[in-house]
Amino acid sequence: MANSTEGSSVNMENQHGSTATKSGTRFESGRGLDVGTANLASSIQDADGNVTIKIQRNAFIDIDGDQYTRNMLTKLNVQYVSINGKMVVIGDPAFELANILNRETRRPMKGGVISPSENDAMPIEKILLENLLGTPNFPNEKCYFSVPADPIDADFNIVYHKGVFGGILKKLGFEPKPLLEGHAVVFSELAEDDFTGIGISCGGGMFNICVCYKSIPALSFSTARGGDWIDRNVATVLGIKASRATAIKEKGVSIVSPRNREEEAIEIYYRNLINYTLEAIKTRFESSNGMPAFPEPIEIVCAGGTSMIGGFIEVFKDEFQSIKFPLQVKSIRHAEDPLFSVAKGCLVAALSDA
Amino acid sequence: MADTLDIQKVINTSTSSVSIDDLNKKGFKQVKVLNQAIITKLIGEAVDRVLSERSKEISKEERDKVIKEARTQFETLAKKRLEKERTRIDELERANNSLTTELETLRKRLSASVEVQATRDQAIAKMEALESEVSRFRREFPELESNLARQKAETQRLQSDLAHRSLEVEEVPALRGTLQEYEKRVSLLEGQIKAKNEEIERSRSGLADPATLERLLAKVTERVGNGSKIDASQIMLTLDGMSRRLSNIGSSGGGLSSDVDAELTKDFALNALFDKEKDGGIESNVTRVKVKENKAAGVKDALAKLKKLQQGVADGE
Repeated sequence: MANSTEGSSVNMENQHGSTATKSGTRFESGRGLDVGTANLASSIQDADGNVTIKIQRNAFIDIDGDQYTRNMLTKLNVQYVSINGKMVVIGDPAFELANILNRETRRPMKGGVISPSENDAMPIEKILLENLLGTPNFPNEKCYFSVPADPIDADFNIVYHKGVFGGILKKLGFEPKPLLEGHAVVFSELAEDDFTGIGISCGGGMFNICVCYKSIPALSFSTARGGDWIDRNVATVLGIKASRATAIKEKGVSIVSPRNREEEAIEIYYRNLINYTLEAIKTRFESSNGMPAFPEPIEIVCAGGTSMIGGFIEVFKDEFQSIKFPLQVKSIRHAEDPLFSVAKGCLVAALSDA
Repeated sequence: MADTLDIQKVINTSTSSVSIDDLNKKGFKQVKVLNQAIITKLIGEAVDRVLSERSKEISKEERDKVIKEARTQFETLAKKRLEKERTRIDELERANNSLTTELETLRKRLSASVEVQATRDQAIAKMEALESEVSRFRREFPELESNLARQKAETQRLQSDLAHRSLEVEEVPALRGTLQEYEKRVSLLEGQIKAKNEEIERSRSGLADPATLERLLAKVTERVGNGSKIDASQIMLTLDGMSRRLSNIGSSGGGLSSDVDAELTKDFALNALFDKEKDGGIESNVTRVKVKENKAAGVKDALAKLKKLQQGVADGE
């Protein structure tokens, strides 16, 4: 395993690919990157095995700004980008601002891939990634980044999306390596089962499913509904902005015991989404010829930000009971770090490939 | 005493009563007052004079008697008059008090009346506003009526349209039956195509299912171990080939084929996407603001197991 250190001040690569900086912190070679519709997350491991995750909301918002605003934003630790005089606040503060100003954030990605209506956002996306990953510790350091599987309920592919993000990573000096999102969940969460089972990444734009046997994906696909779908529908029925619906969803709601009208609407759409996903998985399994015949019952692991709402696993189990699933399942559980699971899985793949 | 002089009567008939206020209004600031003693004295003198003239005719005793009777009579009359005046003063005082009370009551009523007037003015203003509003509604009413009529006509049209659509819906079952028939035919053809494809795939690359591969490997190993007559070099070539395929899948992260990875080895310029950077028009404080870092659970165990698994596959275990 090659070692490297973070930072660009005194990067020196030795024969084995390791580098050192002033701080002396040594990092393993290889990066993980979760390219999610809602969040971007990078992962890196130091020589002691500690994993550090940097996460940033994948959103921005336009604001009117002058030099005073720029100075204030910097003092308030708020990141901004000014493109040809047009100013945008990026990351989590953009989401907070959208809620305060009762506006929608602009999203570089939609439905799991690059948004066709936000092509101008790519320079911002590059800045976000640069900020999360830093510079590579040596030229062409491997960076495994997550990509969605082809959807079964929408007519698009990921070729363009993968090409653009691969291109950005190349521009940043990394060697890009795409990894299916569901596969990353398996790498991160199913080591105890010899990387055999079903990994589900419940994201903002899509749900990604991957069935693995001994780390090899037997079947991968995605459904084009995710947390954003819930937000949009809740916003419509309650007459509020989608950003506001997201904020309500993330403030500690339990879909097992909703307490008011907003939470009831969230529960209804969550149940519908989970049932829709399970039915899609079942249908896909039943129509697939490449499905392995597992000798033992397998485990299902759910990860991703959309799975972090209270009661998600209970409702998932509840809906699971109501369908006749074609595989024997021994348990359904949450990922250890649901929000970081994909980034960690990408890191495992990167470290194993170094 | 039939011929006794009635001084009271004489005074009443020869004088008139004038109130002090009236005198004051007429400009009399001071008046001369004849009190009872002076009048009595005057009468006494008058009687003395008359009697002295007649003294030759009446005796002194008779004269004193007349004077005494006259004085007594005058005092009686004066006393009565005084009492009457006192009574009148009392009555006037009572009347004055009554008027003062009445004046106070009237003042209060006047004050209340002013408030009532203000309330009334407000009520009138409101009423005028309402009348104005009513007038406006009356003016708009014809237009609203016209709108209502239009809406009714539209509703009727929609109802008629709905009835027409209902008739069309009745035809749906028949169409659905036809569609199902076509779907069955398509499904049949798809099945045939799928079977052919599977047959081609099997003959082209062998069984791709990893579980089946493992079973096959086990069987082959068993046969070799049992001293089967199968050509050992051919078996080794087959095993090498399988091992390479499994190894390739594992080392590429397992998620994507080498063809897909090849897409990323091409250096996309992406100039159009990042043309704004070339203009040099981008300014940011991103490098000056630190992104929050989170510590996550380690991946050492998972990594070790994955490497072991990959090594095992590569070794043909």
